[in-house]
Amino acid sequence: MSIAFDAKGEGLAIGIDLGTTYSCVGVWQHGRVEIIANDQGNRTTPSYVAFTNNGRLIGDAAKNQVSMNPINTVFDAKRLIGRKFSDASVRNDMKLWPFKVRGVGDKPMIMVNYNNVEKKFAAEEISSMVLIKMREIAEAYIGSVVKNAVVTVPAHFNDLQRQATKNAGVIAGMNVMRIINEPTAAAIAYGLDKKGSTVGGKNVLIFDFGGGTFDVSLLKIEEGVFEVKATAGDTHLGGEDFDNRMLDHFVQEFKRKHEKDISNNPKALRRLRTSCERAKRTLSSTAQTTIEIDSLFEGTDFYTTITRARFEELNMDHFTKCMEPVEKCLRDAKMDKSIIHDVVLVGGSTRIPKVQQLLQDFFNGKELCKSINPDEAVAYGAAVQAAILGGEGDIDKVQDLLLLDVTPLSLGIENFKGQMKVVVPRNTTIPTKKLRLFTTVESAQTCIKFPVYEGERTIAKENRLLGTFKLKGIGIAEKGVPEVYVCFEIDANGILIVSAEEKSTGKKSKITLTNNCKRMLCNEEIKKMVKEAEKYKSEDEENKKKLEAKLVLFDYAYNMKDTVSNLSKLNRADKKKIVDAVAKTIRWLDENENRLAECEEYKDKMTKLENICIPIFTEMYKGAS
Amino acid sequence: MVKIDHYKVLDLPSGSEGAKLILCEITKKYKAKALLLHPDKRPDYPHAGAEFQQLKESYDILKDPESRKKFDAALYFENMTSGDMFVMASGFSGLLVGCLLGTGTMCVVDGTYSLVKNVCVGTANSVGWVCNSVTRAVKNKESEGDIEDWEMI
Repeated sequence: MSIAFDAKGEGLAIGIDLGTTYSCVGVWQHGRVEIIANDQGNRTTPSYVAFTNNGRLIGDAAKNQVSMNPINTVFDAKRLIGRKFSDASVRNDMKLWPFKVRGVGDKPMIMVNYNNVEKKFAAEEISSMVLIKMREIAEAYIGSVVKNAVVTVPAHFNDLQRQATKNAGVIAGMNVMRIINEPTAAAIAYGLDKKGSTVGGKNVLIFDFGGGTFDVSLLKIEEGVFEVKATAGDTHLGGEDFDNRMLDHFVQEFKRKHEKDISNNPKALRRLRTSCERAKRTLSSTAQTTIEIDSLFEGTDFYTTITRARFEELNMDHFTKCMEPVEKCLRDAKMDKSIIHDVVLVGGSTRIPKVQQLLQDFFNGKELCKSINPDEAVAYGAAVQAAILGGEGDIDKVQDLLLLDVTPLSLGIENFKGQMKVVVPRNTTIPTKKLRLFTTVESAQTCIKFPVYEGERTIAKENRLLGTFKLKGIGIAEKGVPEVYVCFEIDANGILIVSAEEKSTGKKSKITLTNNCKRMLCNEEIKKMVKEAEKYKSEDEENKKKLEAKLVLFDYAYNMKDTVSNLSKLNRADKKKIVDAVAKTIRWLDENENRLAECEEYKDKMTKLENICIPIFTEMYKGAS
Repeated sequence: MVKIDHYKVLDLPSGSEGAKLILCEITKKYKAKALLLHPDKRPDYPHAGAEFQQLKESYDILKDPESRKKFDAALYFENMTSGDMFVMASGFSGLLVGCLLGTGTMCVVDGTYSLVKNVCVGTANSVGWVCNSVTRAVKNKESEGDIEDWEMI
């Protein structure tokens, strides 16, 4: 809240859709949202970071070189962020990723080779690099420094994943004004121009099916107030999973056809995966497509076809799984599907005809709303929210717009019987604050432990443990006498702060759960990462300078070679001198092709070459005149 | 004593007039007030969060027919200031309303809202439970409205 205020007068605030596979950035300018294209002219940027011997690459540049450098190209950080190394989903994903992930404590760390040094990165750091890239894209377009941003997360992200995303913003050196839910952001994009057009409000179901996550949110849009009624989803279901199924299918096919197993060859797998992604997209508009990869494995080419029907069959269980959250959402909101005015499609995976058909069938043949751009809607909404919170520019259009979002999972405390005592039920409007009274089970008990859980099961252990905190120093009393008030406060970002207070002694204990959890970053670590991020950024700049110096040398050397070969006036000895020097330089450049030398080295070589060439040319022109 | 008049929080007429309001009138008022009171709209006002929280809680009580009925009943008896005796209130179907002599405590069975002094409101079959739980209620004294029960931990 205070952050939004601080934001005033600090330049424009941007909205970033930080996706699993692609990210997108938008800004509110001149009374409307502009989705910003990157340096390649693309309006979405791959959430890829590559580490090479020539420096760090982010976005399109990273994805373009992925098949050359699969083990040092990191993607899918969103599938790791805020998760434990021991999570089943992390274990399964690791089998599919070409890059290495190792558990440090219970925190998954990504291992890469950067400048010939083994480095480990937290998912937050990788996400922060993508955020930095998105900010740079925005800065290049706006022409000034951008400090503030609204970042989106899947509605079904839990407390730890939200906190981790916020930390990624901090590491990127940004002020994350707000974390908002992706379907809610999309709802703004949908509802902005329809605002106030209907009496009695509109019930809108947002079906957000992206590259890595799936969300369903049900909103009531009325008089500029976007009230989320219920939300449901799966933080681990998306287009990538379809790619994986297809990949598996083709690996089997390759084995059958050529009796060769490519599953241990990251390079071949990566090339096949890239083709699968392309084929999947094509199959949304055509009934059949081909895959043609020359020399996929040990010189064997791979040519095959896949039909839409086959693709649907491979992923049918994924598709049908999508309908459960829709039902759950309607049930939670206590609404019948007949009173839904619009079903809005968001995210690339909603282009799949089968998904559309299942959804349409579920709503008894209702026409689905495809009026918004499924790839850009989330960033669009985030940009609007950034404009509202930043209080910048022409906000007349949006100042009477309000988002009332909800918490996606129930939050509570485990009691001594092991049951989950819900303090904040799911789908409670945020920000919220709930108090609950607890007491001791034993006489003279001086310490109470509060294990805080998140989830819908009645047995606490079956839910996700967010953290545990203790209240010590309770006055000695009979059991059941001390009065301990536990307060659950959820801020507008959906991040939980728990505090406890004992009435008689006034003992207090307050924690942001995430700071207390081993797998989360503590402030010290974040500070360290911020420093490192700055270091990487300056390294990037250094690398850029080196690359420029290298290119200048390259240019000069070839230029000389060219010039000399066309000059007849030059005597043979001088010519040989120059040709030898140029050849030497080019040989040196070739030898060092895979590594960037220091700027000085390039400059040094340049000077040496110039010292040989310039006097000879000067002499030659003197002689000519 | 009714601590908070949820109708007044929403700038709506209270008492018998309030009981007559239909849900969409309440919702409309809530949305309008939310636009004014939400912390996003008043980032520099420190109590915005708490005020919005109260607005939301009041609306939650009034939008649910069950809890609204109970609140209307409590409000009704607040205005009646009756004597120390059991009253069958004809106006509230199925609700038995009684006052417990000399306890000086307050409790509302199955209630989710503020406790009401000297008055017990509950369904007929839960009166026994009311008496048993008076001691618990005494413990709860003037505790905050949100707190529903004790939890051993």
